[in-house]
Amino acid sequence: MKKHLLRFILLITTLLISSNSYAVLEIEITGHTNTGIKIMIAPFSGSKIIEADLRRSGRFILVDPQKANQTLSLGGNLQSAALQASGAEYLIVGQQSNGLSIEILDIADGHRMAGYRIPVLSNSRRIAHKAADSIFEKLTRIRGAFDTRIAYVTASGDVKRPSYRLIVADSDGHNPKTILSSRKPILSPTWSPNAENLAYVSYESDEPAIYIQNLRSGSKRKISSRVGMNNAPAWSPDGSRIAMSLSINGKPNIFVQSVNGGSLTPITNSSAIDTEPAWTSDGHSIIFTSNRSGKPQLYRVSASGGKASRVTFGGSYNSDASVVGNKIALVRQRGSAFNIAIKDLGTGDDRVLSNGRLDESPSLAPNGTMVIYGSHAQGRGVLAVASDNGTAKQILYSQSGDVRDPAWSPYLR
Amino acid sequence: MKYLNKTPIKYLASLFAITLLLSACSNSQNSPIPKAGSNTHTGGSGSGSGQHHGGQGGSKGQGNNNGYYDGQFGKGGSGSTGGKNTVLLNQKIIYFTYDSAQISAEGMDILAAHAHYLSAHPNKQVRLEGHADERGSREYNVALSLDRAIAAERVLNLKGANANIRTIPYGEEMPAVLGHDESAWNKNRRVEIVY
Repeated sequence: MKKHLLRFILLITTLLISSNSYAVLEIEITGHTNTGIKIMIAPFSGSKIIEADLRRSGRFILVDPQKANQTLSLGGNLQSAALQASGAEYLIVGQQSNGLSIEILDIADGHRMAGYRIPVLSNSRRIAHKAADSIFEKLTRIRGAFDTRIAYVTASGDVKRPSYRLIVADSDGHNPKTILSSRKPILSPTWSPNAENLAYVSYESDEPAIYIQNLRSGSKRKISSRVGMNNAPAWSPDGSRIAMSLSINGKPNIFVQSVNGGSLTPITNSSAIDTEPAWTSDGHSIIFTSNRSGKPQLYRVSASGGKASRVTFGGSYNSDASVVGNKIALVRQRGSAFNIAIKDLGTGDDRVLSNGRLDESPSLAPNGTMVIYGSHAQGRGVLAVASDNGTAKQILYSQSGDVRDPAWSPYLR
Repeated sequence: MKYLNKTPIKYLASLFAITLLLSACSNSQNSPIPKAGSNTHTGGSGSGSGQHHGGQGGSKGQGNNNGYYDGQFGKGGSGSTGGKNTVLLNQKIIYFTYDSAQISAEGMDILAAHAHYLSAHPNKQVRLEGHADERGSREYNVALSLDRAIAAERVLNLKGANANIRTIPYGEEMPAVLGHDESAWNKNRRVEIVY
């Protein structure tokens, strides 16, 4: 395994107060693609961030700008013969000056395909992520999702009595910020569709309850603390409701509650375990895990309740759906291992993306091109990001404990 | 955080003997043997007589195998039954097989002993803390651990416990044993009886 690792380790040294240092994630690229769009990114402030973004999408091959044998600058003269000899199809030139200006050039004929200007933002890395989003969309015709965030849980300190933290970071793991610390477990973060709030399960009151917390103000409120289980919140695409698994009748079933704490609608009513609800993008259906057939499998039910139909058939264990469009990322048991697979309900494509022993908690980027999940490396919990085509992979890990339970945010406004 | 409850050392030997006996009748996967090492600091001075007492309990258990399994203990009120009951009462954890909430035969015996005790102590607040091993998805494991706690609650109620029982599902969040292998998983699939 190790020999496959690219020696590409970035220690993140973003602005962190010292008490936040546990939150620092290191990034290790463990897989890269040898097929994809060949792109050269000229050096400019932020260009390395754009390179890293495009690389982890699994759709680009980064060509070293040294191969152009010339100075590459925005608006400068370009020698097309040397550029064409580099093997790159596209060239990105850029310049930071009160924001970032970039241009995409087609190396074959030298024409300027597109130009973008990204204004100054307080999180300067976001400027580069937005540029990467523009390039990604122009060249793949898929909306970019690099300028997004991830939420995840860490457990660190005394292994018998760990400190749990709920952290929000940029989608590449930079700029981590702790939004909740607790001596009791925290799990299942889920984003509101406007990316301004998180819902999660916390045991801080000794028993599990579901909370909603505003990321800007930090204020939070409890929305469900029913007897038994308050599990697996999932925010509806219109932002008005949260699906969850409750044990009101003694068995875990799916319910939908309005975010403002109003009515509770039962969605399933089985005597089996029904949990891990995930809304389809249109908000009309909920895909959930149930062991009603004996082993955990995915089922689909109308978001107003009714009869559920089975979605997964192959394998003895398919669970924990993350849904974007037709794509469902899920946990699948293969032999003794648990891995992440992506099933495309449109094309029928079904692909296993991970090869760990205990992979779990998949969460798709809002454009469905990448999935972040929990995995293990060197005996500790880590996060992994894989491209949906299975070619690019990177690991995000902490020196100070376990990292797990990631949730990829929706697009930022 | 609750990890393996401390068991006084004087019961260790008897626990061990009975666990061995039960193991002989069931899959060894279902019968993790609590580690003695984790309890060594709970009371060194009593350990000599404790060993002796435990040995007795164990041999009586062996001699009365059928009675043990048909749920007769606790009804007779004889000295030997009381001893076994005490041994069972000191077992505060019941274990499960993978992805199952079915109570094992030994789990039934442990729960029956607690139900018997609780029926005579009606004001106890009981917490049944369900847990799962780390395999499979995290939230499903919370639900699975709830199923385990509720299965244990049902047995306690059926056997006459008269107590305020709360079930708390922890899923895979609070393992009793760290590690990523079968022996750790065996000890992590459990319900802890706390009162």
